[in-house]
Amino acid sequence: MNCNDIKSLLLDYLDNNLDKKTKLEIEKHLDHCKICSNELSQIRLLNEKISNMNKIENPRHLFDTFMLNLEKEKNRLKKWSFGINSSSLFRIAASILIFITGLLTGVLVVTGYLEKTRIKKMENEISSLKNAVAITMFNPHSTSDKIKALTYFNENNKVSPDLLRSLENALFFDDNVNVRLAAANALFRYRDNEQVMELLIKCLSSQDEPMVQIAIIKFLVDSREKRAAESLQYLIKNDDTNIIVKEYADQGLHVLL
Amino acid sequence: MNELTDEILMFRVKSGYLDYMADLFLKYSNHILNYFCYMTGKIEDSKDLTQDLFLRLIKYRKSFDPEKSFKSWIFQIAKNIFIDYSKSMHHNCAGYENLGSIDKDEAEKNNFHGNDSLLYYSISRLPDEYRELLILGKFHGLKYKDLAELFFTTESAVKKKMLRALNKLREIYFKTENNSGNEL
Amino acid sequence: MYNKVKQNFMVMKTVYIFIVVFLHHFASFSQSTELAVAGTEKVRINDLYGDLKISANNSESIRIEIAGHKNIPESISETESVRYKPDNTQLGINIEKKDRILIISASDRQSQFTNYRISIPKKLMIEIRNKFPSKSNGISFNKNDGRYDAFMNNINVRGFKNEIDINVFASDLKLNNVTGPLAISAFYGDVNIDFLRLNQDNPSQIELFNGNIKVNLPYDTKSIVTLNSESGYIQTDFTIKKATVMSKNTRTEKNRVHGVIFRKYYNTNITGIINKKGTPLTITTYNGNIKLLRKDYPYIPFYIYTD
Repeated sequence: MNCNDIKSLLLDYLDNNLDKKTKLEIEKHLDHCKICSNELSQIRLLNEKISNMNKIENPRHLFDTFMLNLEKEKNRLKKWSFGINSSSLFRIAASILIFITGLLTGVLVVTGYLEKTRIKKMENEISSLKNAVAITMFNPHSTSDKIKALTYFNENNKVSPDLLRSLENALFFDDNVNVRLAAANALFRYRDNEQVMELLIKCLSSQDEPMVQIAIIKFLVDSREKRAAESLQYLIKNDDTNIIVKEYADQGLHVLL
Repeated sequence: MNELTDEILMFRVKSGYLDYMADLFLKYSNHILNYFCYMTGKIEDSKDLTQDLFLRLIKYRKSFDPEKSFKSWIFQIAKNIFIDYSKSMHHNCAGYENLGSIDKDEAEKNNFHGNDSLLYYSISRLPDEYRELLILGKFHGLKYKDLAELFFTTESAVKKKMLRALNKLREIYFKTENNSGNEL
Repeated sequence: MYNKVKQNFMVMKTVYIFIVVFLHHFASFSQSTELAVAGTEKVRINDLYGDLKISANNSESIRIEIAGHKNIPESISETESVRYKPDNTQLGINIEKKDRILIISASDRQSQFTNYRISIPKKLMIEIRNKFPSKSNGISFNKNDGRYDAFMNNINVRGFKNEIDINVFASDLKLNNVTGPLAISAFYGDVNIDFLRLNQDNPSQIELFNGNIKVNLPYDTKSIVTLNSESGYIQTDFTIKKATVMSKNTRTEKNRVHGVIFRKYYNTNITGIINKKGTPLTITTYNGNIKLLRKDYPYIPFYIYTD
């Protein structure tokens, strides 16, 4: 081996990536070649120094500033949905002029307000409209992509706090009922987990989608979870609860008590 | 597959759950801050660049490919930000010799130039490409595979370049050591 | 004279729609068909209680036809606070484009109970959503049966290559020649699905609260299936490998019909692999039976599957 060969193998030698034979050959050369061994020790020194360079401390306020920026971003996207509100109001008003139907303007205003909740999910997609080159592997309009995201990494028996949080988010905030059901089913698999149970019981009353409410009621009743009785009573007494949900809650209550 | 990887977190951000960006911030902001500091030599600017980077991650979340590594993606964006920054600065960005512009107290507070100012000086003298490779590879510890992905090249090409970078650094470091008092 | 004809709702009307008058805030669409569908990736159908026949076409446009009417049930009172959008198609339908989604809804009570035939480009995603009826709709439920029948309709979907997302209150669903991925839920009604093949990229799920589910799947489909029927039975001629059966009191039956083995599992949940590991397929009914049947299997006479 001559010096040139050694030079190109130095890195691998330092990383210990060579087979025994080559390693021995290199060491043989290094024994008698001062230049090369000098070079090696210098590079080794530099390697160490660089990896031991001082890590600059991350000041706390960096995180706080970030959180502020994050909130601003989220609000900015929400504001846009109000913008759409006024445009859909405008559209509806315009269409009435054109087509002369009989809806009252008052109804139109209500429609506009309801539009807001329906496009709550679209707040994130709006920004992509302005981003002309949006290369997506994941389609924000696709229900099954969302379900895949929730359940794909769901194959063991442990639930991490992050997974729990994402399932909780989907369960309560997603516009799509099927996504919520998928999140609920994912949570049901962790019936042995105390945290999950408490979450389901506590939040039964804040779930607003009837089908999901029924699924949760069934699950809690089947699991003979007596602690759910209070939530069930709340549902029965509350005027806003859907009739069918009330029936299930009522039945469930009888079973539990 | 079973643990919460960066790719999964970014995937969720992409899905619209923006809050998960906070987790990624906590994990990566230090790396990124250090990267910018050592690339630019300026601490305050580096803090701004770091904030800018995470905002960009949110804005361009749709372009994240979950099949690829998050680490290489984030450093790609960091690299772009650095390039933009160095273009907007009209002098050579390796302003370590401008350590004078960072007042001593702040430097000490931030532990910036520690014990080996010669090392920092030599690194600052390297061309951007070499400096970046050394920072990412040796300081941040990115593997050759990740570096290859980051620079759109092959592992062997990365290794060769790394060697050249180290040799160049060696040249500067030991030469100046020998000629101490000359160029410093 | 013309007015009388117009008012006669039993006359079939065919209108070809070349989409859409309403402009989105951020994008403008011409009235040409091509452009419009090119900007659409999904069609969402909201709260139509008539019978719906939704089929896939190879063109770039959507076509809607009226195919009859249902009687508006008496139990639904006239005074409700339901929000309708104005008719912009002269069929009683409102079509609106938001973002990249085309939203189809009824413009009044009458059209909500009209039967429609809708033909949609086959590469689009489909979403059908009928909300749970609420008290404000004037629904009153008796203890007697028939309380859901007012809302009961038949929904046929055939031929789509993209995802189908259905969430309805009371419908008999028939899906033919679909690939999925599917996300289907209904509170009441029967579900019949005939797969062309099962999309392997994303999971599919079918959840029913009251009713029976029958799924025909090509015999060589690779999938991890989860079948839940706690108050009914699960019948299949697939061999479910590595099956975990969870049940309180289960009974299994085995029948041989023309050389094919059918297994019936009572009151249980099963998870397992058919053929090889593949995309997850979850089928659940809280009150009913599940049939998961092979199709296109060579050498087996087709008539054993008629049921």
